[in-house]
This record gives sequence, C-alpha cells and structure tokens, in this order.
Amino acid sequence: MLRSKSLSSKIADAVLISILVAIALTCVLPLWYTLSLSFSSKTAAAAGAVALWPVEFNFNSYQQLLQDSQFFKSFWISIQRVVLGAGLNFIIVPLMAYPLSKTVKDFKGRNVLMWTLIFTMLFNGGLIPLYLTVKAYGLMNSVWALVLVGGAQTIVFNIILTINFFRNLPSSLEEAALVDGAGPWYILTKLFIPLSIPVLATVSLFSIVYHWNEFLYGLIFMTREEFYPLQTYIQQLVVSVDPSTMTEDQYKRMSELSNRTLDAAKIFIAMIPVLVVYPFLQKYFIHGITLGSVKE
Amino acid sequence: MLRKYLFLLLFALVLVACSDDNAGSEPNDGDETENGDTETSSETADPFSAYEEKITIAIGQEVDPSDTSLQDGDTPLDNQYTRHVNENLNIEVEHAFTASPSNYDQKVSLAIASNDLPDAMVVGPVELRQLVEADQIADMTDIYENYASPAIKEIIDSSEGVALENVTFDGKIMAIPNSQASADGVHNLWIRKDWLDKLGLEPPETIEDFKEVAKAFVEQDPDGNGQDDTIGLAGPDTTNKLYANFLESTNNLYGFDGIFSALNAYPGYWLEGDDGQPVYGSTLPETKEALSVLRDMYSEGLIDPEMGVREDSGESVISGNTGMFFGPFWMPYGPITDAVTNNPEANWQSYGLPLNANGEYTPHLSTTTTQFVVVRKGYEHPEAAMKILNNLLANESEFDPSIGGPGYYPLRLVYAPADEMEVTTVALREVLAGTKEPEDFYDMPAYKLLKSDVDSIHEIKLEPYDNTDIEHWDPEANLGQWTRAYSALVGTAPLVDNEINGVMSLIYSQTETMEDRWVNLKKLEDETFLKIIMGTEPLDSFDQFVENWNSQGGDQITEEVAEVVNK
Repeated sequence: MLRSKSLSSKIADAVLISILVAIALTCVLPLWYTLSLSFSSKTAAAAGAVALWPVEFNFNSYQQLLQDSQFFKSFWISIQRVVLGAGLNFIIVPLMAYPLSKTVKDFKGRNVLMWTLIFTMLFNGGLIPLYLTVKAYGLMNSVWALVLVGGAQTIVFNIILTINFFRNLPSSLEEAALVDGAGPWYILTKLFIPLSIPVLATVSLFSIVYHWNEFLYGLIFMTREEFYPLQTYIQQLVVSVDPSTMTEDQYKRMSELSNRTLDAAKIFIAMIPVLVVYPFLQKYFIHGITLGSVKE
Repeated sequence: MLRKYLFLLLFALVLVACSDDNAGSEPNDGDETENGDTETSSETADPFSAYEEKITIAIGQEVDPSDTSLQDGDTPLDNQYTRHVNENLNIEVEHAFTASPSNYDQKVSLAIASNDLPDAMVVGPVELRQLVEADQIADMTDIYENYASPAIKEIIDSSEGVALENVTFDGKIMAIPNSQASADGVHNLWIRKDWLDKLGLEPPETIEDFKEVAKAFVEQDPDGNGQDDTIGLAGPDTTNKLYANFLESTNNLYGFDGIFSALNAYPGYWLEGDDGQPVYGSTLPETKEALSVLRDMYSEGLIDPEMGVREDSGESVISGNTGMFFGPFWMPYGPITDAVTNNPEANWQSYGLPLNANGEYTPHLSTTTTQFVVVRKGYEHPEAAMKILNNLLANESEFDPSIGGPGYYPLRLVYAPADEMEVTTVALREVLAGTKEPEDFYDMPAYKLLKSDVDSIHEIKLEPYDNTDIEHWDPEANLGQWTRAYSALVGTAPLVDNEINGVMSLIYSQTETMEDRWVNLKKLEDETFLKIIMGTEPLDSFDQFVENWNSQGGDQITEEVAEVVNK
C-alpha cells in the first residue's frame, strides 16, 4: 500500500494509533488486572492494594480452586451446553436459511415464515411465561433448557445473516447444478455449505460465545447449584450481598466470604476457553460479517 | 429419507426433554388435591412428636457457594441437620430450589410471580406482604398456638409483641417470625485509637469534637507516611446507605447514622410528631440541619471524597487510610480482621459516640424480626414447618458447626435472646476479672456460643485484661475466636457501658401504598440527600424534596402508617 508522507497525515496516523492503543488497553487491562489479582495475597486484594502487578505473589487461589468440585461440575455443564447449542445452531441455520433465501416465486410461504421469525426477535412473552413454559415441558434442571431457550432466542439473527450470504452466492452456480440434475439436498450440502464456511464459522462463534457467557437462564431454570453452568456459578460469587439483609450467620462468615483472589482465579479460568477458540475462528469472523452485510 | 432422519432427531429431542420431567419436578407436582384443612384435631398437638408415616416437605433453601464446611460427602440435602429432622420428626426434606444469598430473593420472587411455591420457605417482610395479598400462603394461627414450642413462644414474646405484629394480617397469623439479637441495629463509632494517641486527641464527645478529630486525621498525617492519603470519616459504598431505614434497620456499614442521631435526626424512620401523629423522619427540619452539617464536612474534605462511588469502603479501612467509620459491633468479622493482619498496630476501638446536645447517646434501634417462614396454601402438613423450627431451637447446641454450618438447617430462622451480645460481653469481662469461672456460664443454652467464648478467652486476651487495645490481644493464637471476642469486648462495649436512649421506628414493615410508591420515593430521597451532601445541589433543595415526597404518595402513606399505629 502506498502512503503519503505529508506532515498532516503523520499527525493523523499518530492520533489514530493512540486512540486505537487506548481502546485496546481498556479491553486488555481488566483481564490483566484480574490475572494479577488472582496471584496476589488475600489481604492485599481486600485492601485494594493490587494494581498492575501481583502483590505478594502466590498460587494459593489456584490451589484452592483445584479443590472446588462445583467449579469443575459447572465447567463441564458449560462445555455440554456449548457443544449442544453450537452444534444445533450449525445444523439448523443452513437448513432454515437455504429455503428462506429463495424468492416467493420458488417458496410460497416464505414471507409468512420470515415475518414469524422476525416477530420472535422483536417481541417475547417475558420471563415468567418463559419460566412456566420451560417448567411445563419438564426441562427444569436440564441442560436442554439452556440449549433450547437460549438457542431459540439467538438463532434468528444467525439465520438472517446466513440468508444474506446465500443470496450473494452467484445464482448461476445453482442453475448449473440444477441442469446437471442435482436436487435441493445435494445443492445445499455439496454446494452452499462448503461455499459458506466463513458465515457458518461466524454464526458458530456467536453461538459459542453466547452459550458460554449467558448466566441468567442458568439462574432461573436450574433449581440447584449442582446444575448451574459456569457463568451462573461465578455470578453468584461476585454479586455482593447487601449487608442490611444479612443474618447472624452470614456476617459471621463474611471474612471468609470476601475472597477476591479466589474469585479472580475462577473468572480467569472461565475466560480461557473463549480465548482459545477465538483465534481459530477469527479469520472467518470479520470476513463473514462483511460478506453477509451486502445485499444485491 | 433425510426428512425421516430429521423427524427422528426431533422426536429424540422431545423424548430427552420428557424423560427429565420425572427427575426434575418431583416436589410440587405431588397431590395438591387436599386443601388447607389439616387433621389437626384427630392428632394430638405435640410440638416435638414424630409423624407416624414419613412425610416430605419441599423447601426453598439458601446455600452459600463459598461455605465449605460440609464434611464426609455430606450435601446441602443430606447432612447432620436434615438427618436429625428425618430421624426425630420423620420428615423427609427436599429442595424445591436452592440459591446463593445474593440470588435467593430473586428465586423467591420468581416462585411468587409464577405461583410455583415450595411447600415452605424463608422470606423477608416485602415478600410476606405480597404472598398474603395474593392469598398464596396458609393461615398459621392455629398452628402457632397449638404447635409452637414453649421456648419459641418465650423468645417471640420477649420482643413485646413486635414479632407477632409483623406477621398478623386481619387478625390472622400468616407466618412464623424469627427473633434475633438487637445489637446489630446500633451503629457505633469505630476509631483508629493509635491515631488519636499519636495526635494527642480524645475520642470525640460532640459533633464539634468529631469534626476536629476528622480534620486532624486528614491534615496531620496520622499514619506518618508523609503523604496526604488519609480519610477522616469513611462514607457509604455502592452497596450501603447513608443511614439505615425502617425497612432495613440493621447492619448499615460506613453510613452516617451516628451523626444523624447525635443531631436528633432520624431519617428513614417513622417517628411520633409533635401532634402525636406519625411523621417520616427524612422530612423533618432536624434532618435538614444534619444534612447541612454533613455538607460542610464533605466540602472541608473530612468525609471520604469518593463516597458513594467506591465498590467497597472496607478497602480503605484495611489498607490503613481510614480513621473513623460507623458500623455495628461485628465489624471485626468484616474489614477489621484484615486491617489487623495488614498492620498489627491498627488499634480499632469502638465508642458510643458522638453524643447529642444533652450529652446522651441516642442511636436508632432496629427490629428484631426480619425473616419469616411461610407455608404454601394447600400443603397437607403446614405444622411440619413449625415442628422443624421447634426441633431446631431444642437441639441447636448439639450440632457441630465444623461439619456443616448452621445455615444448612432446613427453614432455619435465627432465634436468639435480644441481649445475646451484651450478655456475652459481660460474661467475658467477669471471667477475665476472675469474679466468675467459665463453668458459671455453661448452663445457658439460649446463648449458643457463650460456652466456647468463655472457654477460649484466656487463649487470645493478654494482660492487662481490662485494656482492650490491640497490643493486648493475640489474634494469631486463634483467629476465629479472636474475631468473636473482639466483637464482644470492643464492638459491643458501647452497648454495655453507655446508657442508650435509643429511638425505635413506629413501624418496620410496608403499608399498601408503599408497595407501588416506595421504590420511587426512596430513590428521590437517596438521590437528593446524596447530592446535598456532595454539594451538587443547594441545601434548600431539601424543601423541594419534602414537597415532592408528600405529593408523590408520601401524604397517603403517612395516613396509612397512622392507621396502623393507632389501631
């Protein structure tokens, strides 16, 4: 790329770079702070003495963390949830996006179906009806409550993204396949899906991150801690209790409760899976969004 | 072909979903055919008798995720407490739901809103009122009279009727109230006495003295590190309030309760006005006066400039930047343990100060009833909840908290004599002074921890025994017992040594209009007062606040309070 070396463009570059660095720092510093908190001593953390570097460096929190069986139970539940949720997402999205990418001429009910989907994106029944529905289906305390409810609410966006991508594929490709005698299943599985890896990777990443990070449904649909996914488990540790509602037992145990270093260690471990998945999917990620966004 | 597979897949999903039904929702789908008519008449009303046939009760249980006290494979559902209930009463406890302390209220609200209640659960005053209005819970009048054990009745009666008043709606007892020690409703002044000594100051008796001490703490570098980094008086953080109020009358940390009460202002409390009718303390001229004092202190830099935005004001107590704060007797359980670990010379002492213009200590007092056990309407054995509580009080001292904290007892309510902490303080002093032996206090089962307190005091308290300064303690000998003994001998001392002319609120519960309006009125109050203190609004915006408060529902609420009080 050619660059002009005039003074004004150098200044502009400097300004832009410093803004970008500042934005990058605001993203990285909280992670770094959590990491150094997790390696600090308990007293230093409670006194707010930890800034960028660990104070009185030690591994105590990680040793304690290894003994916390509920943390690993929840970790496993979250893994199940992500695999099931992202897997279903990967199956359903192309199956729905392919017919919906056709025009009304080819697929008569298309607009009705499309508006029904969009309606669910804009309106919902609220938390209590959702709770009653899940209970009536017998999904309480099941990982399927998290997979299906969360999945259903986010999938419409993914479908729309994929529809737009499908529509951008050259229509002559499909026509050629039709002429050679391919049916719709063949066209979808052998033509559209291989060509759409960028967008499918993108929507899978959306789905993985969503299922990993979502905590509210875990709190509502799970009646016991042993069924909590990881982020719900962490949420209950980091939300502080209002002391005026505390009973005798609670404040007598408060000195044990405020274990910020252990909480920091848990938060950090919980971030790792997403941090690991991201680089592998990132190359498709940016590509996928921009491609889907242009409609002919 | 593929369509068939897809159909099979969907079918399999539905199957998986249905198969979980049996496992997941057993507690509430039991027989709900029977109504509240229990066969109390055919059975003799014995508070402690076991059921002939095993019954089950599905409860909502608070489970603290950081509580690691359970041993030997015990679970929140299978531990010494549930086994005891099972063996003694033949009641099988099940969990309709569990939640951490921070989420328990949300779970309860969800259960109420979806009308999917456990057979019994512990709720707060706001939820109790909702449940009564929605007619979701059973009338416990007969059950309380026939089944409550004499010991529980005695403790509840010791609250002079307040406990029962809180659960009585239209003459019916709708829940079982708790009754607990009253010490955590008094907010003492905690001071770094080593700073006072270093600067040659005395504990502040009056508001004027108080300002001087705060000024000295800010300006004269009491921690001697040569930096201008000290805070005179800590202020509330994001989870705490400027002052405790009638709905949350206990355990307000780092508030300004002591300053308000020394100026005869009781914001957040319902008081008797000059004409004998109830008035809301936040609307009175005394409150305006107190706000102007706080406003001056804030502008002079005597109060933590970051008050209201800190995540935890305890941080600066632990790090040794704060010189004074207001808090209940148990602050050693809070930041003080860490503060002393951090700096063994941090000599935090507690005082019943400052005094009002007449030289009296006039803190506001709390209600002793904050929690209630309710039973779902239609549950066949409503007396089971009462029996579980009878069993708790009768056997509480036999349980070993080291193999499972007391919070795992199903439907646990705190029953403690109102003077629990004060009695502990006096007992410890007598044992230290040698006027009594530890054995003299062994036979007081209502005071659950007294025995271990008197037994271990010599281990952690060093001579001279009548001096509670930090250098005369040995916290490292037994940190757990030190925390408790320090809370008693230092934190509770002001309650024993001062004559307390405390002020009670006329009511400690919500009235009807409050359900709709209180959240907004409270927000108006909190925001206005915080802005006045921090100087972003003029003092006279207080008058506008009073006008708004009255017109936005305050008038109507005051009338309702008058009705309740004059009944």
